[in-house]
Amino acid sequence: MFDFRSSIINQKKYKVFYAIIPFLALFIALFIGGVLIFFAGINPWKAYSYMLQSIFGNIRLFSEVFTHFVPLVFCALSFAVAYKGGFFNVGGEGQLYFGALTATLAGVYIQGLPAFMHIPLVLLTGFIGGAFWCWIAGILKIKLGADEILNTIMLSYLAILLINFIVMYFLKPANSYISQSEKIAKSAYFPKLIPHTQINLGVILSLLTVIIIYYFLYRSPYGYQIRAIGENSDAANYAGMNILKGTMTVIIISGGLAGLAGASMLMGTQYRLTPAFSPGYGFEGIGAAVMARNNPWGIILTAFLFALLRVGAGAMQRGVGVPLPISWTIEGIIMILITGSEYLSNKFSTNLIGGRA
Amino acid sequence: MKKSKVFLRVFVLAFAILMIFSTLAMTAPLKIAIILPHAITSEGWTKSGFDGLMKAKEDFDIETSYQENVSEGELKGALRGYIAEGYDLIIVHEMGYNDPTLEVAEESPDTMFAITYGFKAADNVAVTSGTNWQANSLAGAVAGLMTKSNKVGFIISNDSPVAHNFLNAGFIYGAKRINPEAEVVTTFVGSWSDVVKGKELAKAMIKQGVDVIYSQCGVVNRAVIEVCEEAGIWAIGAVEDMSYVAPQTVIANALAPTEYLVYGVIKEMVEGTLKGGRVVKGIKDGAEEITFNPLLKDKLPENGEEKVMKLRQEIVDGDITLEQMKEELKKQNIKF
Repeated sequence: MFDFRSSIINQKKYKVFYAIIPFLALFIALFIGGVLIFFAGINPWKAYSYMLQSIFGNIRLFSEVFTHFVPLVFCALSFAVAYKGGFFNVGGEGQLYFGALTATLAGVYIQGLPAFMHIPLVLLTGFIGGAFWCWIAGILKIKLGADEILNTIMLSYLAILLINFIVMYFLKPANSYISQSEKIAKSAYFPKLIPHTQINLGVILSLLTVIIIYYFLYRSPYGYQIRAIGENSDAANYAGMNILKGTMTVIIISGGLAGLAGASMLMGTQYRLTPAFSPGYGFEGIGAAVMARNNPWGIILTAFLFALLRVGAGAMQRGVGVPLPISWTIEGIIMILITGSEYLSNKFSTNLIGGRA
Repeated sequence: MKKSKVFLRVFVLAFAILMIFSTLAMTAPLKIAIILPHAITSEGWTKSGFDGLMKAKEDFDIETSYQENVSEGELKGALRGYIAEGYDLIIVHEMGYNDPTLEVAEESPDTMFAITYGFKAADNVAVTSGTNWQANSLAGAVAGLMTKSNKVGFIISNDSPVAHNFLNAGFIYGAKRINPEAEVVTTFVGSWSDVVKGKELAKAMIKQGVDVIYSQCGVVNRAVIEVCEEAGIWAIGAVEDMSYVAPQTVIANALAPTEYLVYGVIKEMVEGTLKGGRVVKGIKDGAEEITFNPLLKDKLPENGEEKVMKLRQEIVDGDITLEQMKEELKKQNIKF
């Protein structure tokens, strides 16, 4: 039967429509946000122009965007990779914390190494820590068939509380009254690419990781297998692929990426482990991944957008007094509209395999 | 016109312009910001600090700004944001943010920073701290005074070294000093805002026989007072005067308003006397106090108020210190 619909869809004008949807969603969300800001008693025009002029007019403030960008990229990749492999890892936050813990141990208690050895070592331990924490949920799914959504989320809370306990009772220096670990050794600090800004090695690492993940998922035979397992595990199994091995691989990689998020925060800006270490990067990364349809290149854009929004939200509150919850609402609306528009454009398309791109 | 006249007029004009600009620069208002870890609606610690800023805004010619809900991960970004926007004084209203603030302060030696209740200072970092034990030990004294079951409760937010060595030690000493039979039950909520958990902990304490509760836990304080009101037992307010929550239940208030500290820091900045270094302010400096609810004064046992005030005077005169309090508790094998 001749496919009338796709012959229409593939016409150029519809392709243009797909491309502008995200921007349309962004614009609508900002408009709704403007209405909320207005009801909060602040001139929305003033608020937004303040936000734009402070982020883009001020190099120091602009570089703050990268402190959020790096962990967001890692957390988004973490969710995306697992999703492609059929594993719903929503526990990035906990894996970030646990990876940060193992990275802290390597950063604080291993002294005397030169930077070019110490940095990879700390990154590796961060990866291992995050991978381990995800592995716990993974093994529960593989051996017991336990649903990973619940497990990864529960393990997140466990990790946050566990790190709280470990920091206060084990990592805190004996005579200190403040709940925080020692600082990591200077040899484990990310070198700054541009002095006096927050643009450091983490930025390069995160972009490199995007490239690596892209080539792994889309240009390597094993990546193909993983995506096949993710789309239809029965068909993949019938074709002879090892489901167990493939799923375990994405679990380890996914957890490891979230662990790298924690390690990069440690080495790039925080330099010590504290109880409320992450302001929700794990969860926000999921949003960034979904908004980018789990595409590694798209993740660069969405992570950057979310990072911009975070810095902008702070700037708006500092400058004109816009309460933070309004900024969070704007972020939420952006996410809803863009993923909603994704659903609408999928309805047009005939390529619906479980709704995944 | 003669050359000299032209010259004179230009000179006077230039001089006038110079004077105007220099006075404008001199009177350019100071920009002062406060970074708050919780929401400004959080009664107690956070709101009090914010009120300090607002009161200073009324009294002095300053530009103010605030950022709330700033977590540890976002702190440095917030600080750098204010520095980039040219703020003169940035107040960090959270003791736990001491180290990251010092690190950022190093990057910007011309900006003045203030931390409330911190420990480490620097040339451009002024740390203003309450004592964390003086008001609390007087609260303990009131608790020991009022209890009939000899069981008193203390609800603290986070299980931290400061909580044990300052708050708890002071409270237990105060209770035992007035009433050696009193037993103190201390529990930790784990946050400044988990109202549900706070209420449950208070109810559990009451089941154990506790008949006076002192809560030092942010937004939870109000909820605990309400629980005490329902159970018909005494409550002691913290940080600010909380009698309004339950006028027949709140027997006394252990005041340690952070508003006082924040206002003091801003006042010194405006007057140009703010220096780096750590300053601890207690009852003697007017930063902490114990007050009795006037409606309930007749419920105090005989000489009760005198006994509590005697301890207060000893603290003010320096006759009893925190170290001595801890020594005394250790001697009696009482854990804090």
